[in-house]
Amino acid sequence: MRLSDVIGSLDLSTFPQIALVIFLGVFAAICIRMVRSTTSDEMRAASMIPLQAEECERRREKKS
Amino acid sequence: MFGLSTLGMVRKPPRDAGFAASGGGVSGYSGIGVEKFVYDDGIVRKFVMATVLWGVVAMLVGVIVAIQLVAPLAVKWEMGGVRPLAFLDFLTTTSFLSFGRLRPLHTNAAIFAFAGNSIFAGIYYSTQRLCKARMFSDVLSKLHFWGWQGIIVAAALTLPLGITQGKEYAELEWPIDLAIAVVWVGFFGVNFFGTLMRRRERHMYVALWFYIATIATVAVLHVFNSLAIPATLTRSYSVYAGVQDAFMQWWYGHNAVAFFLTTPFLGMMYYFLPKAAERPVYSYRLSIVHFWSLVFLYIWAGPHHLHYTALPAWASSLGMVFSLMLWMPSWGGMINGLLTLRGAWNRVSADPILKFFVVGITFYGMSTFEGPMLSIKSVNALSHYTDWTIAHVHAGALGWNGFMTFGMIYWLLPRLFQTEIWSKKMVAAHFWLGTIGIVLYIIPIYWAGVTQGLMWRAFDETGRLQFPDFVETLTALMPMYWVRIIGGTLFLIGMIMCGINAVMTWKARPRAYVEPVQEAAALTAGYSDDPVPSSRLGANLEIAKEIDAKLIQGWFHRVWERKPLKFTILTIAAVVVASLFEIIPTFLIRSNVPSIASVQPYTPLELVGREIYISEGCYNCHSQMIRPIWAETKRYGEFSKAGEFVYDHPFQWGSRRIGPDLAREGGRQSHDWHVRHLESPQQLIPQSIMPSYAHLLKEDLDFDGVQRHVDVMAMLGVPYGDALKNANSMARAQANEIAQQLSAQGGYEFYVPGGGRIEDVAAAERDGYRLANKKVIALVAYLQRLGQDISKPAPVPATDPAAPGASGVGAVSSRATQK
Repeated sequence: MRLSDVIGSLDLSTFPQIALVIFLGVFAAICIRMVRSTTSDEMRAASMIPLQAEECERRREKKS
Repeated sequence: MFGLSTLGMVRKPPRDAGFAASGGGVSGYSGIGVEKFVYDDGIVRKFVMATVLWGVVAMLVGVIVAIQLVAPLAVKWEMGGVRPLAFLDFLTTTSFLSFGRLRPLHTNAAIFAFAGNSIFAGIYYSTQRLCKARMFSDVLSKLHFWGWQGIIVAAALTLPLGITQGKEYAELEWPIDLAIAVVWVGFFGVNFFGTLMRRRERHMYVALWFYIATIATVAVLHVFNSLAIPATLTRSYSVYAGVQDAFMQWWYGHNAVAFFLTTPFLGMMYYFLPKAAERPVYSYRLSIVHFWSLVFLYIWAGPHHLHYTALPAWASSLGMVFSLMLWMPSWGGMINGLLTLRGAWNRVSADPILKFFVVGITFYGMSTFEGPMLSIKSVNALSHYTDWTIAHVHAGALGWNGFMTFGMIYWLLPRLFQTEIWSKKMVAAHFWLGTIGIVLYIIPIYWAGVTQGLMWRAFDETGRLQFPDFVETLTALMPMYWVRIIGGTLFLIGMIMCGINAVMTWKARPRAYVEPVQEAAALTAGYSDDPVPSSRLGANLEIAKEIDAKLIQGWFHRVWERKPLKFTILTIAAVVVASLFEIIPTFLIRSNVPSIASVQPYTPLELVGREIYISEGCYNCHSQMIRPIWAETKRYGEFSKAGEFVYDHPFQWGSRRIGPDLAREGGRQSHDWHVRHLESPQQLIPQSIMPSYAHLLKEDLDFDGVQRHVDVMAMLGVPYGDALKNANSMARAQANEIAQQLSAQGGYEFYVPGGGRIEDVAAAERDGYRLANKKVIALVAYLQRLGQDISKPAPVPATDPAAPGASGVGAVSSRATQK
């Protein structure tokens, strides 16, 4: 029996259903991680990363 | 929390990790040595200027191909006995400038040259800042830049010469494909991931995630879609055929939109928009959900390009469902972008850079609403093959990719060239010209799409097609095509103004660039992730405690965000697993591609004719796929079956009908009609906008090269029996047969360019003008074969089924006898 025979004997609707379950699982896990209030500081710090150079520049100018 | 500081300015900068200052003391890195380094902005400058240059080229070619669609009719206009637009004639009669060859040049230039260089400029600039590290290797940066420009030049030379694989957005032939793989993975990929490894910021900002997804996924898409066997240096055959090739092509094609034109630009949005607005992204949480949703959903959506085709219905339904699901995360990203400007909207009215970003993000929202809508089967039945798709694509490309690029370039120019931008007024003028240009482009083309779609399916009260003549549905669009040219020209003028501004700003640069020395603490080598938090659960099962600690408390994702390798592997896994769920059943389940006994391989001459069809880019205007829709079967005949395409390497279903479908073209017209139509379409159909292919009546067919093509097809499993030994003589025999039939029909036996008479040619030279030796005969052979097999009886099996040629092409050489 070849792989194509095995796959061919399966119901086609199985494939998208498995995929949807995987997707929903990953999606739910990521959403849980996102909505937790304890991560607020962490999120705020991460969102500031692109602005760090400007922030440093401003501080330096203030000092001088 | 700020580990970086700008210490001072030097003219001869130290390279990355050149030395470490003692002490440390940077917040979050206490006790760790602080390192000094400078960013490599030279490479960003190069990519920015290349973006501008190729942007002008791509949009200029776009305007030219738009003119080509009106030129065949425009050249005939007469005013007082003068034809004022007659000078445009060269656009429809010059072989290397024909629409079929230039249109791929336009799309490739816009996507890979303009958007590609823009992506590289944005990634090289932002990655260094987000990682607090110079790029991993200056040599790799340069190899990447010059390698990519070399690829673009190779594309610009080969596509007009008709060297193409015949797959949309993947037209480039195998040597260039190999170069793309080397430059993308070997130079760009290694350089980027090397920089990630040497970064000095533990957390990978979300823009970097989008870049990771781009680099990894584009590599996977490019490699698997481009698998082909070379026949010559300039011609290869896709290893996939028919339905499977179509599936792979649109798996690639749609995800090229996703991972070349969307994810990298989103990464750039998440970096450059906060920089321009001087405020952090509205919701970092939303950006994470945005990222994973896109990565996981986008990869499934490709089959929505093949609704109602011979692709199995389950695959296209799956593509539709996932496309609809894409709407929400896409809009999440758009809202996240626009809300980043909260509190700064007053600046938008005065700052053209922010204007570019706002309009760009708005177009992202429009396109990502329209995309899912077009994926709905009933909508797609109307929109597919019409200009609606063209309008959708241009809303995304000009609005989203174009305006995000312009916003980024104008933000970068003064920083990269360390001087004021040359003309701020010109930036503002560019914004308005571009905006009006897009509107003037897309509105008439949406109109044209809906008009043509409705005309194709219109029936009169007697149940007959209201517009049975295809050309009627095309001439109705001409006013819209003229407005499109105006819109495209305005956008091009804006692009040229951007180029002038960039060059003039560059000219005002300082004698030597000042390169600020940065300093940041190195990441500790012995770093270990945050410990797994203890579970808050008491008397539960151990597994529940584990889920609480690792999943519910978010430990797992925090760890990913700090580990580039693990993050990349997981991204690739998300893409590959999703792809495999579609690809495996499509390739392995036999019922997906039921064979048809009467469908036989092309004869050697037809195969070469197919090569000419591909080379001329006929698929850019003609589909070969009749959908099971009443209006289509009434117009074109029996709907197409998957089993009809099993020998089509590559498939030629097309995606746009500027001309009629050709799936059942075989036997509809005489050989003479085809030859005269190719010589000058307007002599048979005065309203036709098809260019002339008179050069095919002049160029010799390379009979000696036929065998190579047949051999490669045989390697791919096409049952070529006797043709494996004598393809050349079989092709000559069929060509002579067609030439005799052509002559009997009153057609040309000889073709003397310029309307000369064969009697005036010396007898010794007459064979050079004999049509039996010309390319046109092969193309006619192919066209006359299209759609014929399905109505023929299945061949009688030979006594010994194992004998060579039992079911091959050996007995098919007389297939030319059509008319």
